[in-house]
Amino acid sequence: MNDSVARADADEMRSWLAARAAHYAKLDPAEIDYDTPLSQYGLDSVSAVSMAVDIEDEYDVQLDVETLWEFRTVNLLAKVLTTPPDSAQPG
Amino acid sequence: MMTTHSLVGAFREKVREYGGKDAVVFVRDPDDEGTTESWTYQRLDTEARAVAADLTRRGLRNARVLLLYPSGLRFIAAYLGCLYAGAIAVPAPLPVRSKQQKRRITGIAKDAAIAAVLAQSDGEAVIGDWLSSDGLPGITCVYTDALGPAPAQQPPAVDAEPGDIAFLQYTSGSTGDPKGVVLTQENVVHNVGTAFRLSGLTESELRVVSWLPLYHDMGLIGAVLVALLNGGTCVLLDPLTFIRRPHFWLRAIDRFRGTLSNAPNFAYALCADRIKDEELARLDLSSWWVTTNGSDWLEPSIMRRFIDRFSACGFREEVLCPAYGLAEATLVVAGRRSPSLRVLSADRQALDGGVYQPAEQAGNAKRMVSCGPPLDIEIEIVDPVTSEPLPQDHVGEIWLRGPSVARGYWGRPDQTRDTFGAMTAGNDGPYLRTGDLGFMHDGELYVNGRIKEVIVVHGQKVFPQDIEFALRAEIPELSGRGAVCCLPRIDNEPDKVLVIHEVKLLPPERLRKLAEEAVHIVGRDFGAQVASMVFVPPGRVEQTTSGKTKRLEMRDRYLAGTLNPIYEYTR
Repeated sequence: MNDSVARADADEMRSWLAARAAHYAKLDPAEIDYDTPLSQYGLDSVSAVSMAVDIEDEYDVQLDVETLWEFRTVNLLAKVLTTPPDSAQPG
Repeated sequence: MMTTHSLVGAFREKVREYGGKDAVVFVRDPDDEGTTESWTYQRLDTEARAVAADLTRRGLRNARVLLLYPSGLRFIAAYLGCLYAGAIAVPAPLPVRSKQQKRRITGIAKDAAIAAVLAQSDGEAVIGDWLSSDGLPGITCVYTDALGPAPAQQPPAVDAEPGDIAFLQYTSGSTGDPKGVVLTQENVVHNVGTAFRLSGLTESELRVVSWLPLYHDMGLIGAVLVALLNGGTCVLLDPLTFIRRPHFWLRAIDRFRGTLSNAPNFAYALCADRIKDEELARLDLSSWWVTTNGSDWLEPSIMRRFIDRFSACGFREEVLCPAYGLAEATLVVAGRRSPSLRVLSADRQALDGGVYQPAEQAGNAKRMVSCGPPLDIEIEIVDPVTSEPLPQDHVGEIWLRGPSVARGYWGRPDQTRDTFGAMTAGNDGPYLRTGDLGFMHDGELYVNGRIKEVIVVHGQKVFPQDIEFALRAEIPELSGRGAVCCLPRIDNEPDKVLVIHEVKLLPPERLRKLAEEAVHIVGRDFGAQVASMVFVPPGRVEQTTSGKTKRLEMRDRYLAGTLNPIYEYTR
């Protein structure tokens, strides 16, 4: 895992993820609940890929779409992005 | 100009004429030349011969051969190799991703009774898994990138007759009931000629750029074969590359001075939404000559957004080419490239009664984009109940006759007779029944829905997509897609409407208010009674691979109680 990710402030990452999810759902970021699956806000096969690319560009981490569907909430995604590989489990 | 009626003959003519020219180019990153792979016509011919030699040695002439490749040069060589050897290619997506995807490919493999799979060695693990887990023993797997060169003393390429089968196109039918459209040599050569003439380009101007899947008719026929049978160059990107980085599509058009590049509605929307200003600033789209949008119906508002965003890069409105087509007629049926879209403003009530009339009030108008005139095919608009041909401006089922109409569905004589053997009341035929509704006006086709999904309200036809559109326009919380259908009829009661729609996550009391509002709108604007208003999570309403909503399947699922709605309002 990249150092910049390890250092990333988890709160900041959560609000960034929520903002991206809100962008694709055309919602206000305040409407995104951190424990609600993003699919409930309209994340689909195309916007999921877009979101994975956003994460790659912002945090320099390659995230496949399957991971994004598996770690399906803001909180779970933030956890998997700040935890070394193999130790993260979906909640 | 093509002088033969076989695909191999037409392609080999171009190999002789354009041997050293790039035939296919595969691009991973249009800004990094090191990621580009290209084969000349000569090289592609050599690679296809190597595949053909192997298929011939294995005795696979006339056998069905499943092609499981990622987008790229090897797929094209394998496809041509099948044609050279007289094997029947069955293109399909790789059995990766969902269980649904694997089930679909298994269904295709069984329906076509395939004898062999052609693939790339990097697909060995997933294909091996799929073959063993889905109970398909005894199928030979050939990894064509590992084949040696073709032997010097190779049997000559099969010289096919016009009526011989070219390949099977499995884009019709549901997952559980896949239907392989049987395309003959003549079908494909004829339709590729039609598509090329529609583009208005010359052979030397033909530079195709495409990210469309190669197992789909729009990718294989509309891009690859249009290029290869007319001496053009076909630049390919993987579909996922486009979804990940939409600007790569437009950068590829820029870098290769692409002239022909087609896409469905969502692609234009994705570009308009996702391409950043700094990427836009260095794009030059002035080479782009024609883009055929063959979606269910062209969405004028999406195209407007695309034009507004990319006109600064040299994109011109006249490049847009609305078209109508379907796999059962090979690909293209109607289309026209013209300086601006031809849009009719139709009176809704008249249209619901089955007739086009110009709308007198804007509030009662439905905007309909012309799909252009029929291209080398005969269109008859027919009353789907009485089979009487209808005059201009009357809405009926679109029936087709001509050399592009496929032979039928593989191994399904009954469905083939029903769909491909239709006769009019005057015993004229046979015609292909498209199941699509439309009318002709001033010699051009306007498409207005699909036949079995029509709802009849007080003797008037109501089209589901119109209700779906109206609901979305008035209720912004309804994201995504909807499926409006007619519930099975009870005695003499009027048709009752089932509205299934995707919705954003909202508290139950808001959903109740939305349902009430939706019921009000359907009653007010369409006169129909909503029996049930069902909200489902985003992504639940399914589409076919060509983007048509599976309304009847959604209805059946609702009736079977397997839809699992998040909210249901019943009267």
